[in-house]
Amino acid sequence: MIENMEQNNNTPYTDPAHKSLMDALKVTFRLIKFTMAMIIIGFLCSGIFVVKQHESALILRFGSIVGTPADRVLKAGLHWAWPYPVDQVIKLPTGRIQSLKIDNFWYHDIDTPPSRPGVQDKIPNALRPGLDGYMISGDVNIVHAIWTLRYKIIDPYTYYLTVQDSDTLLSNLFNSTIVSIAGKSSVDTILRTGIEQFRSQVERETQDKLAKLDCGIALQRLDIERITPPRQVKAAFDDVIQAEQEHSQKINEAKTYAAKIVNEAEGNASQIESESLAYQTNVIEEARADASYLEEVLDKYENSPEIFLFLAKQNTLKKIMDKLDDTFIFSQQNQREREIRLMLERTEKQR
Amino acid sequence: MKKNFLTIFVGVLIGVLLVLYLVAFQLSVNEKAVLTTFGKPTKTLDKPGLYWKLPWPFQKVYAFDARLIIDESVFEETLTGDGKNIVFSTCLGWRIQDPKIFLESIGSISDAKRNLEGLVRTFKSGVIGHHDFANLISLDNDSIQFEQIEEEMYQPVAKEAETRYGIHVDFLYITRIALPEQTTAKVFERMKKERERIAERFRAEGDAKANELKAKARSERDQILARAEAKAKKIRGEGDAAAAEYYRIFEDNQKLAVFLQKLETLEKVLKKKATVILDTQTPPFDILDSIETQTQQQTR
Repeated sequence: MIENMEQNNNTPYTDPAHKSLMDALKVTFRLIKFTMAMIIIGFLCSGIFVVKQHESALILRFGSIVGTPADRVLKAGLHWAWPYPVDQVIKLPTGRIQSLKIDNFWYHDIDTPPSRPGVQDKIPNALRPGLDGYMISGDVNIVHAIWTLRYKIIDPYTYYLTVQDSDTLLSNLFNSTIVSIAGKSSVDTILRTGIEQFRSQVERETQDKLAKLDCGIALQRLDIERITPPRQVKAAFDDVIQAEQEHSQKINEAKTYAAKIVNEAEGNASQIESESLAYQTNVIEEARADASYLEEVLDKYENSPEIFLFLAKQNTLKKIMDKLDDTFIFSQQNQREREIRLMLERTEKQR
Repeated sequence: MKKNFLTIFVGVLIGVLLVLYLVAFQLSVNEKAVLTTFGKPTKTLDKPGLYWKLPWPFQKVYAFDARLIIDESVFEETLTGDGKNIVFSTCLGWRIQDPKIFLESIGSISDAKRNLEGLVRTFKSGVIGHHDFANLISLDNDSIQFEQIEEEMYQPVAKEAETRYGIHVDFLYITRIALPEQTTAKVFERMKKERERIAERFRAEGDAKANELKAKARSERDQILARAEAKAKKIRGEGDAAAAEYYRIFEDNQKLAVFLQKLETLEKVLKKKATVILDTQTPPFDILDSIETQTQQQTR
């Protein structure tokens, strides 16, 4: 013990080498302590995370979701969780509308680029199942289309529990809806008259299927990017459109014609009417004039009818003679037969 | 002294972590697991959380993804009940329900996919073979049995999957229907003919409708004119009737009236470009005759 004590007392002073080792160890020890503290602080700080504007987050503690149904979904902002392996943070882009293009119903034209630019390659006369996609309408016509689905994660909790691959899920639900709805719609509905009705029906039924599945996804909107009859029969479809245009053009022309002749007829009718009115006025006025004239001259006539008649006759004759072109007068004095020849080929006289 | 304490602390910590790693495990909310003891399933775990187990080789944990898995079947040709070939595929949405049965019967997701595919194939051709083409594709709503067909495929598949594999099938849908390659060429021919007929009908209908509109307009025109004529006739008649009132005075003085009318008519008729041949008996030319007679008498 004494020896030991001595040794203990002596060492710091007696052995300089030993002393310097002790110092070095002390420094190292302090350094380790500092590092340890930094590691612990760093460890705890690593639990801080940011949820971005368009995201929501869930925290899994030992695999279970942290929080009640009301507060388990973390909104945008700064949050803290225990670092792995205690907690695990799951971030989901709930605020973002994601889009998914579906070209399962489009023909395969990728491996046949035009051999020369500007030259259309020959169109195959049949469609290969599996390669060329299409919808079959209820009247067994073929229609190609490209669709875009826009969807959103509306319930991150259900989504995390249910969905492994949202694109596969959505495209399959959508495909089955398309196949069943196209299979009972006519090709004219799909391509022309009811295209919007068709689109909204597919949209609605896809939404129903998603809702039934309860997977936390909602289909926001379904758009038809392209829709067309097959290339093989495109010309025939175009011809129908043209025929339809001709149809309405013919009808429009007929309508214009009809309006025109009815208008004309109405014009004529009012003319006929006004003419008849004019006639009415004329005939009445004339009668009135005649009557009043007769009344006027009646007195004179009754005084001496012979003279009146003679004078009136002579007056008229005067008036007529004034305007006549030619007047021939023949005497009947010598009771002989006479022949009068008329040359009825006269040039019109200058007035 | 401090140095020793730290060493011990770090050592113990590492030791505890190592032991924990061996005897504890986490199960996530979207997983299900089975605990086996010497290879024999002893416990089914379907709640999330931290669990304890004996280290390997005593106990082992098999954890499975319990989320929805979607499998699309291959595109295959099948014969419908009325002998038509169709090419179609289905999709199956399923998830592991009983991990114990699942582990015992299949054991891995990829094997499960293969098994389910076989299961679907067993039933789908049979179901399609019992239905006509028009049950899948038709404009007649009464003959469409799309959902019924899906249901007929779903029921046995779901039942088998549940009892045999511990799998719950959420849905089975027909995702694609196509026609064999040669049939599409025939469909194109028919589509073309149909379109031609429709175009033809549009054109014919256009002509017919246009002609109808024109004919209608013409008859309307005729009616308008006829009505106008009738009205005009009535108006004229009224005029004549009103005029007749005035002519009553003529009746009282017939001789004079007739004479005056004659004069007026004469004046109107002989207005211009007329040549009149008269004899000398007509006054006042009778005077000429009388003069002549006189002179003749004088010279004689």
